[in-house]
Amino acid sequence: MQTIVELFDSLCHDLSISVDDSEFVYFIDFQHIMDAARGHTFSNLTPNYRILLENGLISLKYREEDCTNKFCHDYNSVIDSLCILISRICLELDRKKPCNYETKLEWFRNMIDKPAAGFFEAIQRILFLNQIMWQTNHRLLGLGTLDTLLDPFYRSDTAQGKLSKEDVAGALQSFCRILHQDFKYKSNMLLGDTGQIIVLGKSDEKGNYLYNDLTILFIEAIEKLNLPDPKILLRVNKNTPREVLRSAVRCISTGVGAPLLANDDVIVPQLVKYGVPMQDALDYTVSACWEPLICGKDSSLNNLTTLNFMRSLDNLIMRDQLSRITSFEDFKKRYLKYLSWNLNAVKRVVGRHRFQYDPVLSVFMEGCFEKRKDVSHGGAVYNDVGITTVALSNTVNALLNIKEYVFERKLLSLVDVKTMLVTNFKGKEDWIPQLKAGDIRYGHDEDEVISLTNEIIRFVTEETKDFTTYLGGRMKFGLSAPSYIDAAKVFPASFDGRKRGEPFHVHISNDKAAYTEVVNFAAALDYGDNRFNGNVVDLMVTPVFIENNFDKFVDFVFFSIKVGFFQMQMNVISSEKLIAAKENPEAYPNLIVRVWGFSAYFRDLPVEYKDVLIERALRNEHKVS
Amino acid sequence: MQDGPGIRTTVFLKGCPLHCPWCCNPENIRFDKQFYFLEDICTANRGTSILCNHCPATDVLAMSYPGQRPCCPFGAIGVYGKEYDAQELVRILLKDRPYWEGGGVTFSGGEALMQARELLLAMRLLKEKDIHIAVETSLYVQTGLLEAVIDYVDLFLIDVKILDKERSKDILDGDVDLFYQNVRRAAADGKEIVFRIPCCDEFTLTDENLNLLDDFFQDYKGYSVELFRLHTLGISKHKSLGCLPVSEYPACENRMKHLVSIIEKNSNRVSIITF
Repeated sequence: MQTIVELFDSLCHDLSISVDDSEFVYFIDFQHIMDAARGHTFSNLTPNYRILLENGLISLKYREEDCTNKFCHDYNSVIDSLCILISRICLELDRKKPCNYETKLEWFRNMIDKPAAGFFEAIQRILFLNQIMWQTNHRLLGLGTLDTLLDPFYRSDTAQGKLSKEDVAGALQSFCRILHQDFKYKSNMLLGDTGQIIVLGKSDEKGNYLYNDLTILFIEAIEKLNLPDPKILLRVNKNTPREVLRSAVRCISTGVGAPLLANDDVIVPQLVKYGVPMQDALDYTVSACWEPLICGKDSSLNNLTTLNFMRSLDNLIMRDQLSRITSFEDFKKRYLKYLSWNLNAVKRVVGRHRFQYDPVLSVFMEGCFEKRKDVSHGGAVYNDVGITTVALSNTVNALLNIKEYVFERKLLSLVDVKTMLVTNFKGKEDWIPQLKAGDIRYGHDEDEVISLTNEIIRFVTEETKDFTTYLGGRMKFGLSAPSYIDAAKVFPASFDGRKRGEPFHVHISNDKAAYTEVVNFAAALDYGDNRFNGNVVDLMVTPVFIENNFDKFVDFVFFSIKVGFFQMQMNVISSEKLIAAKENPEAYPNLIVRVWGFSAYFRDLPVEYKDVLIERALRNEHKVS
Repeated sequence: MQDGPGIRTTVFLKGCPLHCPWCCNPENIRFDKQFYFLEDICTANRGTSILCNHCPATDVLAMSYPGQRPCCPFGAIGVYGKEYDAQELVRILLKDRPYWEGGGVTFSGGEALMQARELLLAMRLLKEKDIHIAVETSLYVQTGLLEAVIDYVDLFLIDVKILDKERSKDILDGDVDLFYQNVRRAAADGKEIVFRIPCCDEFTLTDENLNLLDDFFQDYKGYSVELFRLHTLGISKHKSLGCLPVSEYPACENRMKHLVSIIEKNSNRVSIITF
């Protein structure tokens, strides 16, 4: 059997090279995707593009006398194979002579032994590394903090008069188009779920906000292109200038679903408290959707599995001696007991996970060279794992209903509740609207719901804080819930008024509550300890609302940052348009919506995702209760 | 969102002395709590609950609250109106305080000033925390009510509607002299005022009313004026109260332009707003 290094070397020798008249060279040979299938391939991360921008490949190698273990030899072999591939690309460029081939030739030749010399060359290197990662079957690949990474090249080239702002705007659009072109192949579970996220803006140690021309130019490129992928995340803090927020809101208001906003004032302190040094924390990017990740140093797989909060409540109601539970406090304690058992199952899944030996990624992951260790052996600086969660909103609402109807108003017994759930509310459908209604629900800024939510999530921390993986990594979790449809498909009815199979709620949302109320609620949640693995507020907004109130909406975003949301994303669309697009998809081929943590063409979504969006839009517009 | 500068939290108060034909907040005309009935929800669920046998359905609209307390598990029957004491109201409002830099609280309605005396404590508590307070009002109220709160109000958003005494009485059921008197009172106090004109050819853009508006703005130069076309956003609320929906009341472009020129002639700043 070939070793990974041999496989990669064959790949570099064999894969088909295609060069054309595009501005940059970029190709993925789908016939030669490397698949060693010896464990799980690393994914959902961002390789260290900076390494390739600041170095020629040869200079990355170990000196012969420093090759003290097998990894060092494998590492050097990967670089040799990459040089072979580059020389093949050069030959092909020379043979085919596509548009601007001499410049492209120089870019690729430089890659062997020189740092990148200019803005366009830097972009070409990012594309090349990205292409290699896809080719070697890594998936959900982020692009990193590109405005920061590219800024020195941009400034140098513009200062020397080699580039105009218009040239750069055009190049960024080409760059995004190229990344988008294989989006069907790159998509993971749903079309559009590619993980191609570009992170923009950042904070410094004193809380100042740092951005540059490229920050705005990237946002404008996404706004103009109207493509669902790649997507952008804008890091913000309380000092983010209105100019940047206006640009972001303008882009969001097109309905493209981006940028997602990530609040440094909340996220950076949590990372530091978790033990990440300040300089690294300030450099955070995210995994495919929301999960904070230290750019180029972090091999954490942040969506390894999902914890379903409702499973524990269902287990309790179906299995426990309900007659012995005499108070809500008792009931809550029993719930947490079942939650701890479910967490044990999650820990077993995470504990069994093993990664495939990966010297290709190791070349572009900080820490591996220094430690002389592969990423799969803990070479990266950070090696934690993350899980996502789902149904916290439904669970909190169900618990509040049990408190009210069973223990306070005594209208039902716990056995009655069990009967309702087992029979899927048969003959008791009139309870459903009552269970769904109420002023104290997940997403309302009421002390009772906030403290119950915090109690549950802090309990998860207690149960997971001592867990470590085989690499010594810790476990993080967050409240963003991508599996709100899949996890609910065969899930029994729940006492928040949800019938069997109906979707769970989306992330941190409440479409009946005022935006300020949802943000206040989100800001009151405790994201400390290991609870920072993505916590996104998800809002539905009608286009006409933003159009009529643009400045006030920018104000709302500005003040919401100060109030302290963790992350925020928006779907700007009307129910009318969604319904029309569902009925007549041909008339809306380019309609983009935000799903999970990415944007997608509405036409590509499974029908249940379309229905959730339509229902949420109707609720937001007060057209359904 | 057209409720004053910045991000604001608006309190809608029940009760209005006027009966504007175009009213978009019909649930706030009556002073007492009242039931509403959502026919679509009832139709979709009728007969599926044991409670349906005892439900008055649409007859609930004739019932007085709180004489009887019918309830619908599906939410087809509900109540417009909720009571708050001043402290409780202020506690809820202050949750939004972080958003109020440049904004604040707006009291609207109905006619907010009809409950001026009840609002006094809430306004005082807000003012103690230096919160900007706006009141949306038609000013068709006893001057004593205006005077009760005038010290606490930073901004009046004043509707200017039909200025002829007879037509005002006939169409709005209001005494326009009260309006004139109260505008004078608010202006004399040096309060910031934004005048708002609901525009429609049939009532407010008639030749006669345009002339009266011209006279009015000669007395009130230099203020901001906002015009808006009447809308039918309140249609579902009218339906829920068993009322016929309001008619559409168009405003022709030329008459709007004429009104703009009248206002600008009187050195007022004018803008057209949409809801």
